[in-house]
Amino acid sequence: MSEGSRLTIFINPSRCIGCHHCEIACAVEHSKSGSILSAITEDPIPLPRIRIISVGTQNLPVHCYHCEEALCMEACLAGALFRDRDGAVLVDSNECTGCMACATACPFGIPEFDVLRGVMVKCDLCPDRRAEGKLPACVEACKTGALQFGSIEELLTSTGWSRARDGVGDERA
Amino acid sequence: MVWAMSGREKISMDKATEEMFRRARELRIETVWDRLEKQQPQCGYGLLGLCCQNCMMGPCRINPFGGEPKKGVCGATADTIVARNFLRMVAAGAAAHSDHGRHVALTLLLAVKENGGTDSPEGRKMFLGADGLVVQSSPYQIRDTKKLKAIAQRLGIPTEGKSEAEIARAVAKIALEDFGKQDSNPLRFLRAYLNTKTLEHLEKAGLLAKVPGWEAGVLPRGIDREITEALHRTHVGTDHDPMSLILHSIRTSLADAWGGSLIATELQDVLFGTPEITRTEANLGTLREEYVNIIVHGHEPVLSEKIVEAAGDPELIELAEKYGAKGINIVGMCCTGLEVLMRRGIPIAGNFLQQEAAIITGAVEAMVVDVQCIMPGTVDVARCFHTLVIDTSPIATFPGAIHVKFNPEKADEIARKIVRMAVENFRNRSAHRVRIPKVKQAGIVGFSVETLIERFGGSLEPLKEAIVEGKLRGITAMVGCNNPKVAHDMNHITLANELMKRDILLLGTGCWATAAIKHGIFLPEYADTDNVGPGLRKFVKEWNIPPALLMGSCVDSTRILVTASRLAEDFDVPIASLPIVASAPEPMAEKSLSIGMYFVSSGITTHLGLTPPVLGGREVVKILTQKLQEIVRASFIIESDMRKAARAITDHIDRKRNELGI
Repeated sequence: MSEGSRLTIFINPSRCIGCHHCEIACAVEHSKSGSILSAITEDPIPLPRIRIISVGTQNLPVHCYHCEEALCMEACLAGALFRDRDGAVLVDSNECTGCMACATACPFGIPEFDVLRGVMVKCDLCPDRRAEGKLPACVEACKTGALQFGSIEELLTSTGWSRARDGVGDERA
Repeated sequence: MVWAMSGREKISMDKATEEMFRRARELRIETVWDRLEKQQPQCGYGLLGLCCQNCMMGPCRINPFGGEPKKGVCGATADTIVARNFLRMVAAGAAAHSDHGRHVALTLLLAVKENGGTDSPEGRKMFLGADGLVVQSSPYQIRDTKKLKAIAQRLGIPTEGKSEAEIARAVAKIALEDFGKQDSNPLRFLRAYLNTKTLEHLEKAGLLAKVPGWEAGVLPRGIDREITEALHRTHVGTDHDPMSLILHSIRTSLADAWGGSLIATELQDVLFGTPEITRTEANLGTLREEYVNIIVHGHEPVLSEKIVEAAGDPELIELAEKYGAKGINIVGMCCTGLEVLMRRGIPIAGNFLQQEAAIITGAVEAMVVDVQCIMPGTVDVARCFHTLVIDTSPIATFPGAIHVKFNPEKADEIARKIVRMAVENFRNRSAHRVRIPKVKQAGIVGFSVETLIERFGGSLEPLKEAIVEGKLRGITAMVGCNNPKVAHDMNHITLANELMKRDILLLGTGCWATAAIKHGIFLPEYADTDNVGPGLRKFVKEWNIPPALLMGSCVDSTRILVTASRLAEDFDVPIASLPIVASAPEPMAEKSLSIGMYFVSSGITTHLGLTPPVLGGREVVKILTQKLQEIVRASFIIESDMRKAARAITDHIDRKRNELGI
């Protein structure tokens, strides 16, 4: 696949003010009703695929990075993980057996076990929203610009992290 | 950015609290520190004061980084939202204090009702024996007639030839009028207690602000009116000017200071006695292993005084002995604790952040709670032990607690019932789970304004002289809460020591006062430590007082204001000219913002040791920390480093001394 067409979410931790809106929006997007007012009463309760963690005084949104070399895909015993046209690593919950071998393989520990549904859940870059030309739910919910969405080339240009590809990052946003 | 505390850092500088926190971890009991950790990362919009949910077009939030959204749905800017939120917090704090004051004023009326306090036919019958004579009086009586007459004289009520009851009714009537009057005159209590030059300055403060609509000034007209108006101004589409909203914060806080809180303090002294100097103890070590332990917790003495009385009932003591206890031990917590400590010398078990720790000792039969600063989490902790949490206020109900709703007309009966419940609960104690920390400290307490004046030989002249000659650099009022975002009591003690080293006399109330007594600061011998400067040491030894003076509970911060006002009279200046600063080193409650604002409004620059949710509004921050200097001649200092805070406070005091030419 060509590099230019791969989509991803860029994270700028210094912009994160820890409001958790991305988590809420993600859970709502992955609910049956799609509305927060009724999503909170669903059974099983919808789960977010993005989390904010505190590291000292810094906030860090953490979610699936849809790695070029996705170790979770290699580790998946059921063959439930696949890559879609935009490069997102998706999980077919019908095939998934919930063995969580993917979580062991993932260097970031991203895959989570949904105990109520018995399957793994992780970020899917909101395929339904992408199909409509919308931003992923978490990016749309982020009001401070800590999360940005686009192709890798676009993001590297617009955020000024042009040296990120060479392993040397400095913030110019 | 969001503050976060690692589990390995100290949660408290108090040994007893640290010990109980470790015990909680052993037992897997969740405490306030665990809940704080689970809240991380806390929302940045909220920390900055940038979220608004005042109407159903929202909720709205403003991007603190300057991008969109820059305005709420109605068009409100960051400064408007921050100022509205701030005013609502001040109003909530004023409401809490003032309801307390109202409760006391109504209790004073009850104390002097001719039929013993009840208007019902059944009640009248209860008070008449077969011969028609009164066989039972009101549960409350006036205990300090001298204080009552002093208040009446201040208010301009004639006292000669009048009975005690007549005077009390007249005082209570004026107090209650200050709550509900609808004319435009300033509160009667404010006019009676505030020194002339401060009053004169406040009368023109509205003009100095240069905001349309404020020409008539910032003096409060009615306690309840200002609180209600705060809600009206912050209703969607009403007041949007940050300065106008802050001016109403001034007015609302003055209604608290020289209204609700002052009425509470003054009338409590009439009913329960004006505090006198006494020696008592503090910390969890005041719980006694072989006794029925009852903690009175919250803010109002109207019930807690009765609990203390009931605990002395011979029948109940005998019952306690029957259950294997040696007696009944009452200890206090938070401001209810400080009320009975000031007047009766009852030991205080702890301040705000120790309420769960006290239960975790496993030695508490009952925690009797009234209003404010009682965490609902205490009920959860109590479920792990035999402790009964008994809620008593009709306006404060705790799910999971036992509800024994207090009625002042049946005060004695209800108090005895509560004490009996505690006594009967002694047999449910598991002796093997009792872990009372062997930590307690003594202190000399009980400094009311009257006590202070008496101590100084009949006036505040010696205090004035010490300030003029430089033996004392100045005074700092130390007030306020605990906040688990800083190590418990650390800010309180660090700042106190830094100020005393600089020859600054401390007058303290609230959870600061409890922290200080636990640390030994209220012992006269503390003046011999390195934490007290030579001038302060000399002054306190000369007058045989501790280097810091405990003046009471949160509403008793008004004792400090009254002291400042009398000192200002002696200097013949407004309060704002005096070398006095206030500080709330660990603010937590909305009340602490009302207190902070009322010190500033009265002319006393005030330090806050944690940032209130205002940083999102740059104009608001500028008003609070700078522009208020031009209006009320005082402002806020926001500084979380206590050593820097001490320098800022000292610098301010030195500037005031220079302006006074001393």
